[in-house]
Amino acid sequence: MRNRLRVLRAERRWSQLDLAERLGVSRQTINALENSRYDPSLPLAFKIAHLFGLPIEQVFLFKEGEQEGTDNE
Amino acid sequence: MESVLDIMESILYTYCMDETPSQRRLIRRHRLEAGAAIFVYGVVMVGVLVWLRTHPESSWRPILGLTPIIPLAFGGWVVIRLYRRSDELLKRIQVEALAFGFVVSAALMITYGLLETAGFPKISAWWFWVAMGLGWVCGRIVIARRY
Repeated sequence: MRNRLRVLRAERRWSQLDLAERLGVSRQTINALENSRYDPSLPLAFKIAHLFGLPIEQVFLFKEGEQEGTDNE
Repeated sequence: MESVLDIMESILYTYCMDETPSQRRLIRRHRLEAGAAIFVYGVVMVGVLVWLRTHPESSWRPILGLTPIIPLAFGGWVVIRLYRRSDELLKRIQVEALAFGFVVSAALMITYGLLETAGFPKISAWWFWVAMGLGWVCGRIVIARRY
């Protein structure tokens, strides 16, 4: 699943480390999320959306049939 | 061009950049606990081996021979503790690495089991642990590269 994490982070001038620390996850997780190699759990997705003050669908862009090729292969 | 920069940034972050302070604390603590577990296991193992050699007739041999299980259990607790304190992606990598290790070590053991029936020498059960451990480590490297 694609997401706008990298753009939203850049707008706030946060590094991956900054974002990881704010979310309480590893920097590796942020990197995997930004590169669409990993889809977060529902609680983490909501936490990310809440941190950016946006609805979840404005952070994560779901498209039918796009699941294949990310972490569910 | 942007995608090339994205890939370069990704490589840079994956191999060069540091982890968050809380992750560094977690890793430091784990290394300390794992080091203590390995040290205690080594000391107990040497002590037990020396005792077994100097007491060949003792009826306590089976019980004292199992003593290293105690520090081994401590080592298991250290691994479980790291797993529970890891974030969701790291937990996923660990589980997939264990599954990978299980499949690889099972394949190795079954293959050698078949070779034993074909006349190969019997090997010590210690090799099962070596195969499992190596499978787990290889799995950790292979799976982590996916993310």
